[in-house]
Amino acid sequence: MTRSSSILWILAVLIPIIGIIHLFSGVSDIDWNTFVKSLVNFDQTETAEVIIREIRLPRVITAIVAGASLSLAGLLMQTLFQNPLAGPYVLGINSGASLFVAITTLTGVTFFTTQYGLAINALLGAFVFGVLILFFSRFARNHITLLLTGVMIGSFTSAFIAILQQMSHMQDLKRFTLWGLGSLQKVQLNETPLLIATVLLGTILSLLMTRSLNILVLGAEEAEQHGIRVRRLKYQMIGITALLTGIVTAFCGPIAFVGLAVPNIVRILLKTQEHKKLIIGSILGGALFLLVSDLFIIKIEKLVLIPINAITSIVGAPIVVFILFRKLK
Amino acid sequence: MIRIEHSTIGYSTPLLRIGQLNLEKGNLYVLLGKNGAGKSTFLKTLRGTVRAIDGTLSIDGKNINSIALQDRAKLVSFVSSRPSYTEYMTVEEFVGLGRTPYLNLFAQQKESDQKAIDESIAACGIEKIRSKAIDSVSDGERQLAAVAKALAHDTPYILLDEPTAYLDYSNKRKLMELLITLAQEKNKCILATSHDVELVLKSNCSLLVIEEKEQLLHQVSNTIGLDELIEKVF
Repeated sequence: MTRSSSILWILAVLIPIIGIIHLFSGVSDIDWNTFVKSLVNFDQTETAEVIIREIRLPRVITAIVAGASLSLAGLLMQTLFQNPLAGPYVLGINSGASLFVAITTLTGVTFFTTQYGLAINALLGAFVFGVLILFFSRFARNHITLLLTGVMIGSFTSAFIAILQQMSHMQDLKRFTLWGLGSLQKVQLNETPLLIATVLLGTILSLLMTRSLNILVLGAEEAEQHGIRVRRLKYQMIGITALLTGIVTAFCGPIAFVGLAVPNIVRILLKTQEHKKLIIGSILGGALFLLVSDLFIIKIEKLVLIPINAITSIVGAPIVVFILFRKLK
Repeated sequence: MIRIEHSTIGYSTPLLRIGQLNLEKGNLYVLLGKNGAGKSTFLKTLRGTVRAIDGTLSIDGKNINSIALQDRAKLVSFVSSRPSYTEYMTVEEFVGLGRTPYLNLFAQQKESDQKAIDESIAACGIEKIRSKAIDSVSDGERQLAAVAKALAHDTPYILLDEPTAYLDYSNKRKLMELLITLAQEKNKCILATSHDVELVLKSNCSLLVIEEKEQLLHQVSNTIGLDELIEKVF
């Protein structure tokens, strides 16, 4: 077995192990029998079973799916812009989702009014801002210019969100502020299939682009020379990124640095540019990263309560600085 | 055969004119011209990224601009003067990217792909560095790897934009000899641009020049003297 496939297998095995440890961690002790019973023969009057089904299981699934989605989105952005520091968060794609969620939550104006209205608005926002950064990327002559453009889009959007917050009602404001902290705990069990379907769709569509992504690493001109329709490819990549980022952001709020840090760690570990491996590695790595981060939160929640976004930033920001010093000399 | 008739090349303003020019398989053509004379633009026109202002340009009898992107990718390959590369990629993987037009969506390589890669690496004499990282080899080795990539790309026509520009003299000679061998032995039509007059005169290739004053691109005999050639081009 090659080095890279052993690493992928290790990641794949660690996810269910950490997942199970996560399920059995928390304030109340739950034994194996109660766990199995809650799944096969659920009794609504048993508190322990309710905790499993309504709190722990959705939280574990959300951590896995959100981590995988954001990490895959980050990988796509890095390949699209040939920039190791690209990611949905730094490039302002999260901001797009946030802005549209803010408009919906704070003003009540919505572009869609279904059960998943919020999710669809976030997705739309992510896509609009994705196309925006794709447009700006034409004028950005180097890596740093593009990243600063993304950061500026973020600041610009934050200002609008702040104005919306000033004008909104107390109740809406509280709801939006809580969402803005980022959390893996607000997803209901019956909402998890949508999240799972999103990450599966994103993964399949990304894997179908493997050939194009492998050559795009050498630049748009090289890709075109080898028969790839680069313009179409870029929009497809933005579309998938928006789908992944939009859905996760709608349900969990903005979560920083997963998309930026994980694909870089995966690339360093696997030492490859082969996207079949990078896609699978990013999905597994992202899932594991968020799962471990969330497990850490549970383990210390008796001492102090930390939002998920704080953990991912504490781990992610130094990684970004490390990459900055290493690559952009 | 690449066939060009009464064509004007350039963006909005004409850069150069071509009366009649046939580029045939089995030959290495070297295009000499001053910087800014339109060498790169001419290559871009042949690659289909820039449209000729007027005239007809055809490859194997088909008008260049009517060839679909995927089909063109199987006809013409290109090596730039500074090939782009990245980290975490071996020389072999880099050469393997030349197979892109022949792979399925998941980029799975078949036996025939591996064979083409091995042959290209052997033809360019870079077996020793095949497992090295592409970002760790010298400029000369990387240029050879880029030629190997174009060979693995397996097109009848190979275009190279100033392939010797950033190489030292011994690597320049080596690359020119390699290109001649490839053209003859693999029956390819190879067109390289250069402004290295002395180097080009020493090698056994067909000469194309862009004459400054008339902005005219045409073929000259390779028995032409150095002084006369310099007079024409510069």
